[in-house]
Amino acid sequence: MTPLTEALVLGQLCLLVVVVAAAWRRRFPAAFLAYLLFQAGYLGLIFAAEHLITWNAWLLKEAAQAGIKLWLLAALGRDVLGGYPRAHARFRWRAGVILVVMAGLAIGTAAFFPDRRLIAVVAPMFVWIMYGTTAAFGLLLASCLWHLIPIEPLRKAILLGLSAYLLVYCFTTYVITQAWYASDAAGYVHNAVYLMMLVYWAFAAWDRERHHALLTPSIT
Amino acid sequence: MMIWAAFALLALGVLPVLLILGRRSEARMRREWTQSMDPQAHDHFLAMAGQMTDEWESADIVVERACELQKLGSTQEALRILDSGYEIITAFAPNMIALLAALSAYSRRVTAMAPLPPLQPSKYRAAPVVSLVYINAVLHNFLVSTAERFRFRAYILARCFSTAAKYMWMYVSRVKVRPDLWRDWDRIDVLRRDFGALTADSVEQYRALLSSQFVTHR
Repeated sequence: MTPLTEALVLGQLCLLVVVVAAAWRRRFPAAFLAYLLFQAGYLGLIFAAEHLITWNAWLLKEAAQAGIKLWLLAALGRDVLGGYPRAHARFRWRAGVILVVMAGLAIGTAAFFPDRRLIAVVAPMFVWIMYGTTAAFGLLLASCLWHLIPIEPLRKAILLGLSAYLLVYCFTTYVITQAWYASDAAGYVHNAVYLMMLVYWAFAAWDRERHHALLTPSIT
Repeated sequence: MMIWAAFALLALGVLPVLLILGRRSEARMRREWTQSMDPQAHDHFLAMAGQMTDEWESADIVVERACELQKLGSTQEALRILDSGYEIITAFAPNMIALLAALSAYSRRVTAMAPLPPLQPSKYRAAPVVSLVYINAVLHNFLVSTAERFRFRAYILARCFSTAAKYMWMYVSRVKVRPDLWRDWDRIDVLRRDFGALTADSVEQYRALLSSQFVTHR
């Protein structure tokens, strides 16, 4: 790990602690806490015992993270759209269609991949799963926009930050798989965007005044 | 290649949503919801429908009077009155277009929309307006939900207002130069009637949204 990467990881770890502490003072989805704790655990592992991070460990981490993201998506969907039955029903079936199509593409890609090693089969699947998750988060935001639904500030920050981060993550992961020589640059971009997302979340979680003024009907 | 295409599609879809939603004021959204859910607002909104009709009637009377005066031979007086009537219409048409756009946006909040019939071509006489109304009458049957039909009807009404105002401007400009063009005076009269029908249909649309909204929130 280079000194710059080390500093970035340490910064992310500190910010994760700040976000958890700031968000603790209010009601937020349990899935968000699970996501933050999982991230903190993984970053801690990178920092303390980098030799444990093998390709298989990375796959395991991605699989667990994909599950947590879907849980977070469902929780945010219920929190934000729960008070609006028509919008919620539409969101559910459209997100379902997106995820089923992406799962189909992931399985299809893996089934026809010539290299049968685990990493070679599963890595392309994760790309489609990431795309599906990002599209589903985008769909949730688009539903709020289309139905003119107000969003509570912390949840808005989670949605906006995570969607933007996932978009960058999709891009950098694909760059790493296609052009290994650009992996260092892609890694720095990814770390920087992740750090920005945490700063944004920390500010949103800290801003208690606006939170009380803008609770949505679905949460109150 | 396929993954790049998927990423480009994803970025094109998600980025504009992030930008628009990032700039949106949640306080304003919440205020609008609170206002729209207030039962006392219903009477106020109904009064607004009356105001729309009154506003149109004042323009209608003035333009009708101008056409009558022209038939009686008082050309200068007719042109003077037509000018003031046209001024009222130039203020009225953009207001109605803005109102219809707002209705269309507002309809996205309502859980269940009251059904509305398609626009009736027999109520209109000016050819450009009638052709738009026919489009609505035909495509109305291809749309599935009442909310989609509502928004399409509002869109066509707004287009009709815009088209009618454009033609009105054209005929008024022509009769100002050549007041003896009787055919243009007749067309102004036809457009006046169409404006009346458009206003009545817009008010019907407005009332349908109000009833849907307040039934939904009760």
